[in-house]
Amino acid sequence: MSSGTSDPRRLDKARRMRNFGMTFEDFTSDYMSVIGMLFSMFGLMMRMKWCAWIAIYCSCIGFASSRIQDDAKQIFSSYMLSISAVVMSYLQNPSPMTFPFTQ
Amino acid sequence: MRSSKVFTLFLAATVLLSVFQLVISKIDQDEDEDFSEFDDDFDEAPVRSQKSQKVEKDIPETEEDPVVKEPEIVKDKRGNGFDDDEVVVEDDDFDGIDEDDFYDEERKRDVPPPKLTITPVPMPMRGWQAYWSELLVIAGIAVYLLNYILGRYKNQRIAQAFFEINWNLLEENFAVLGDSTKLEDDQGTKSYHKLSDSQFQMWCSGRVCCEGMLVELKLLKRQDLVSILSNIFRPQRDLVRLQVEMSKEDMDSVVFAVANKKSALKISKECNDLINYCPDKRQGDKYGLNPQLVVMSELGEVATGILDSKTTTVINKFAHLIESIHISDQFSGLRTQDPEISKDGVLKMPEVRRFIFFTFALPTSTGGNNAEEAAEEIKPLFQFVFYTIDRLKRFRLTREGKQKADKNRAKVEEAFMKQTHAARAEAAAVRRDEKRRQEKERILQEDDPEKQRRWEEREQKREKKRKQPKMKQLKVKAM
Repeated sequence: MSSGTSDPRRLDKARRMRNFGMTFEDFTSDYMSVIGMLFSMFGLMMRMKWCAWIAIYCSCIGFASSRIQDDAKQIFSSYMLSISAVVMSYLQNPSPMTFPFTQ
Repeated sequence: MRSSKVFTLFLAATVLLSVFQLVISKIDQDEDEDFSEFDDDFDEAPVRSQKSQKVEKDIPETEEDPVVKEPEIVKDKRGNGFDDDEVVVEDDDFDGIDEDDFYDEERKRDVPPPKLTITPVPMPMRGWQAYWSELLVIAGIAVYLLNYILGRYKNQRIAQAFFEINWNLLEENFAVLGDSTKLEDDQGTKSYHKLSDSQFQMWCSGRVCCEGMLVELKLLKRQDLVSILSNIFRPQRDLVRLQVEMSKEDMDSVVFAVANKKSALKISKECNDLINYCPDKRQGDKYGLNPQLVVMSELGEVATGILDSKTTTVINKFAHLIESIHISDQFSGLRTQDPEISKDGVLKMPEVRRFIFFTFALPTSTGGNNAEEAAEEIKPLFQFVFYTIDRLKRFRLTREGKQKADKNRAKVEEAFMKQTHAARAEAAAVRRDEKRRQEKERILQEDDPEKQRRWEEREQKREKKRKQPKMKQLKVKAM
């Protein structure tokens, strides 16, 4: 089914990788870093602990969806921001987390 | 670029936060100062009792240790002051104490009281049970990270199995495997490249009839728990896509696609060439294919020519694994790409390339346990790919078909030119103005006034000439 007896390989026809017709694009990592940042800021300013915890989740999802070529600094800073949001919320108010719809 | 934008956003947010905190601390200060006016107006004892009561009320709300200490200190002093006998006798002492009190309170605003011995007050006894929500969240994060490690390993195994099983076939067909830009010699890396934890690719080149082939694997995001949960509601499959770029002389004017219904909807809306050349979709059973499949073709003879008996058999056998087969000599990208971005896109047609896209679904389970079996199952389809490439090299349209195809292409080009006519005219006008401005600058820089005058006269004549033809046209129309 392939090419019969002749060898289809041609070394002189070897080409470098060009930009492709279609690529599988995935922007989850970028969206998650922005959303994580928003939740961290919200958690810090409005003193809502659950926002800070969701920011940690967003950082985790962004990290899992990241591409190899992505800058590790962005993921790291996203994690640090969300962890600092959680730590500062608990330092200011060590009581357990409350959800807005339960109280 | 994206990271610098994010960094700027973060900086702005930090500045905002610090300003906000400053404002909050100032408000607290003001609240303290609000009560200072009462200190002088009324008697000290009732005022202090008021203050201590207020401070006592604050204990359950704020729970800060220094605050707990204050009422005790004030109470002690108050205890001294309320004794009636002592009020008369110890007037001076009372006054002295008052002054000391005020002095201390005034000093408190300027200097923090470090000499106070704060006895450690234990935290309110809550126990770990009160923090159940935090423990739940931390457990969730641990589960997520565990799933990340497991999912990443599973995807890696699937990719490895796929490339290992099909390696021989690829080696037989291509001289260079793996992207050779990274190595000094042109032998290629002989391995696939990992783009992310769920995307893998390999570039193969060095074959007759094609410039190269890109093998892409887009697997389910098994490393992301959220994706796995969303897959329960919207099931997706692991995909393998082979993009073959054909040489110019190896492919005739063909625009053709076979896809299952879902993919057909998607590609018919996204790909420019299918939008321009294949407006109709036909059911697969008209060409002897599985009725689940849809055929889009520019010319009838193309469809019948490509779908020979062997091809039809293979397609029918693997219909459940075929997402789409898209053959095009006019591929110019996806519709989502804005044509206005590049200057060339506005002024002339976007570059067209000859591509064949084969998108297949890997029959792996969601858990990813049957990697080897799935790769074996898809091997015949891989061989079919090379068979199709070789056939297309030999496939030629009839004379009428070629004429029709050329006419279609000319029509599409004309439509594009009409659409961009306004934009092109504007670009030409801008270029003209720019040239004139440069000329004017050049003339002005020259010191010779004679030359300047002559140039200005020439410009005026040019302007008059430009305006004149319009008047002439109007005259003719009136008649």
